[in-house]
Amino acid sequence: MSVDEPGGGGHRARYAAEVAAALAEVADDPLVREAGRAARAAPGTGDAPGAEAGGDRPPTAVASAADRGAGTAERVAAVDVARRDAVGRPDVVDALIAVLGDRDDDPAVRRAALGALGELSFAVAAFAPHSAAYREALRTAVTAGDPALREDALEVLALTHDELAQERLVAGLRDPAAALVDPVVAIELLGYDLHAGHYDLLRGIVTSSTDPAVRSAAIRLLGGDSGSADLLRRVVLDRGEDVGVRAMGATALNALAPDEFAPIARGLALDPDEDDELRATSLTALAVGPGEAGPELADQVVAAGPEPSADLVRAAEQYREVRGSGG
Amino acid sequence: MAISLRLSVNGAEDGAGRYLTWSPRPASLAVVDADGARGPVEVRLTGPTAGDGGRLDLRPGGSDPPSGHLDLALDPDGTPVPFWLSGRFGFPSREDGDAPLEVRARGTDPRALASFPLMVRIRKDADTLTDGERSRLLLALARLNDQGRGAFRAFRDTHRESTRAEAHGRDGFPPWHRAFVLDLERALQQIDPGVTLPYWRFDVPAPRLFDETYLGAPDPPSRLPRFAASNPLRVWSTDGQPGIVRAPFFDPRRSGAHDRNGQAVRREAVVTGFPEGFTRWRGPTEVDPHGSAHVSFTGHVRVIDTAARDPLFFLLHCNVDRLWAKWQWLHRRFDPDEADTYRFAGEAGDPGSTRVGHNLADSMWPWNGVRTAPRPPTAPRMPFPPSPVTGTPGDAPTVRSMIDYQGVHDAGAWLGFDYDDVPYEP
Repeated sequence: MSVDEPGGGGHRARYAAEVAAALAEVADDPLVREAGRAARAAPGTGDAPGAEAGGDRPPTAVASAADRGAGTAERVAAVDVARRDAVGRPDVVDALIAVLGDRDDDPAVRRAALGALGELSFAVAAFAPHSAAYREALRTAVTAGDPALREDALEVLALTHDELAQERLVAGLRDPAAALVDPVVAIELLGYDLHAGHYDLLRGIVTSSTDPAVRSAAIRLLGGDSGSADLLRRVVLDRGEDVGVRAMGATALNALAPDEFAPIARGLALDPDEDDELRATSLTALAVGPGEAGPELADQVVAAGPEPSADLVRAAEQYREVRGSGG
Repeated sequence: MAISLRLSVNGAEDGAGRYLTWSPRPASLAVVDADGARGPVEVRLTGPTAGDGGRLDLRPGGSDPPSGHLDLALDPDGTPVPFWLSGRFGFPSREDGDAPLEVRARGTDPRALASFPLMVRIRKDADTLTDGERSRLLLALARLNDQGRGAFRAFRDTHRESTRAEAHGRDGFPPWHRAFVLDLERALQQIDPGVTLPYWRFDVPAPRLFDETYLGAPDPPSRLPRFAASNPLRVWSTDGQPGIVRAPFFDPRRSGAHDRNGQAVRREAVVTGFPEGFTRWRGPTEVDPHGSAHVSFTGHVRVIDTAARDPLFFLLHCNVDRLWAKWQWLHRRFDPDEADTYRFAGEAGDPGSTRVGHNLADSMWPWNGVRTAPRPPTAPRMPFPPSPVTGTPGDAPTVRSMIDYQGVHDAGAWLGFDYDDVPYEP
């Protein structure tokens, strides 16, 4: 909308024309229909008492969403319409919860219902009365045959500190036969509500697993455990360790004990035999942290090796921006 | 000895006030040393006319038409001569001070007398920031967070499931989040005054934003985005845990946000074009696109309780605020006393009022420091941070104070921010 003339001008009229053209393409959006209906009924009247209530709207979409005789695509589309029409409509929320909690229903429709309920839980003041039923429906969904539905439901429960979800995640990490999701996912979800009792399990995973992704996921969470500082230090300093695991160990130790990590980070950054990603990560931690590594460090890091990577050079520039240059 | 001049912008004579938006702001120019001149010092003020930096509009009075230049006669005794300054719409700054106000003598000897560095400080589409703007933003965010030990923690603690009713589900949703976003932006500007919070335009692709050098690249099957080792967010930490958990259900290089089932967020034109009053607009748009954008990811940003652990939360809400701002501009909804601008006048307890915190005259938690029910028992962010460019909204913002953010209806209501695609058109 830029016009290089003092004050510009005329932007509103131009934008209104753009909007009108765009609205014509989405006439089925409930917000557009609402605008049209209101304009026909009483142009320009705006908000009236009870304006938020939507009880006068027909229940067509939610009925279609719940109709198990209809096709999957039709029902998913109906969920999309229903979610946009759900403000002031507890019946819509109830119907979506019923779909989500029905073990025998189509997984695609249940996933759509879960997505819609996630949006509504953000925005609808009247969602609280539905919370218990929503939680029960989610708990039903964590054992669904559909992996995406299972994972989504488990994540929402974990994010909201659900005890059953915790138990299922821990059980799956102890016994793969009981796992509902991949171990990396399980560890990430466990992290949403980590308790002191979980740290032994996580340390055991770090020492016993051979999968770098699984070990990295566990190491990340140990960044909150003061009892894991020694383990993290060993991981960071072990040159035989996977570089990605070491880099995660560095960020975890930095989060846990920045003062303890600072001299380690300085040593890593200055060592040209270390991997550049680890060196750059260390330098970045020193740049934004409270450390006192000195303004000359960036120059020393860049000068330490023959050909520093572009990212290491960038980390050094950033360090100078924050700490100043030693030159 | 040369003529020496003093510029005041936004009531401040030091550089702290030299940040402009699209709204006209009061300024003055005064002679400090007249170098022997006895009559009026005739000067011409101009802003940049070329280059990638910010550009300026000048006005003799706040409601006068803007011009690219302004002639003033300065009294050699030092009396300030008032005028008005604004950024020229479409030409925001890229760096602090890149919009200098040049002062030249008029007449037969048009020599340069002074150059004052200004910034047209505007919130932009996050996908369009220059490398320098992006780097400064990330560094300021990381320093505010200080790996989980800094002031960011209070922001994270403010937006919780337990505080949901202060900020969601009622008409106070847009003003509360406007205040929350502005609070964070001011905190960032205390670290680097040239930083603004950009917005994530979630209804279109954002390939640069979701990159390892910016807010993190999707790295499936992990839920954690991948960050370059030099990215300050690489060492982001909240709640005693390093990292951000966030994986999109969509490909941000190719599409706007949608959920796992492919349901896209509502398009901007539908949101801004809705012509009816505020309450009818707020309810549906709080669900979609706001809620829809949140649930287009797995991870922290997906639920209220953890959403603010992810810096993306603030870019998402900056866009929600931009959509409100654009709706306000398109439909001329800046007068708080008009029902279509905001429905719940008065304060909680008045006839027809709604829950406390959502009425026009109510102060907003946590900045008001109120910790008695029905407010939450703690107030992590209080008071509201001051700004060197405006005294608004004060220590404890009200719902009313968040509405006329450009000072369209009342110049004193100006909050000191603007968006790159929402002009000032009273």
